[in-house]
Amino acid sequence: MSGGPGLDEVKEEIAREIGRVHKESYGEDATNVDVAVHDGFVAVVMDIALSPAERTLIDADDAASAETTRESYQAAIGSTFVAIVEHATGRRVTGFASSNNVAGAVPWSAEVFRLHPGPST
Amino acid sequence: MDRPNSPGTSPHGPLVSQLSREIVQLHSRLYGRGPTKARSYLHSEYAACILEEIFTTAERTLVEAGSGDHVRDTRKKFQDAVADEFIGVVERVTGRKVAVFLSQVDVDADLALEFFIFVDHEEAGTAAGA
Repeated sequence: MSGGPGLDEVKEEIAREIGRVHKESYGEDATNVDVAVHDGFVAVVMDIALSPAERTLIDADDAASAETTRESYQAAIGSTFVAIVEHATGRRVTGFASSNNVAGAVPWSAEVFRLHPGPST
Repeated sequence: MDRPNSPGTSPHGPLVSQLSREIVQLHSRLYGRGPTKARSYLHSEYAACILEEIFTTAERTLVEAGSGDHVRDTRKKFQDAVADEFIGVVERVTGRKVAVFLSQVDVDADLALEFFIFVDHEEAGTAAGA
């Protein structure tokens, strides 16, 4: 994809909608949502706020449970995120991968969407 | 037979109300969201708290997506991590020592049962049944 207003609008839409869905379905904010759009994929990196329950698990040296919860959530919400990217880009998503990092100083997640080479059908 | 009391109908009424209130506050602090309803029962051998509408937004999302088992498992791990805090509330409110703490959730009913058996429950049970 080339640069310009069109690309900025795509990025803004993806960032806004993914942040909104995350807040509505997880109950916690996603901030600093950074979107990169390339010919073959879209990548979204964002800071995530841990819930009090997740912080409790991490403080109890059970970060793995908090990460597993996030993975399950991503699996449940993945189709919605895919739909957001397809709508914004006009391209079909052929693959979705997600990674969560909850134990660091600033918890964050990364979502990658592989794009089909052609318009969404 | 010693029956569990109902709030306001026995000398345990204020204790039961306090127990419900403090368990709800603890749940709210630890989970970021409190149950909307709570009922507690105080017996000579045990204390029981039924908490309703307990799930967070994320948990409801997972349950609706068919991941109720995961929610149940994570809740169990969480309760294991914070068991001492729940036991502490019950011991402080009742003045009794807790020997056993059991916690279970029903993902379909969006409900949790917190169950505490007191240390001297056998003696209390014998005296009540005598």
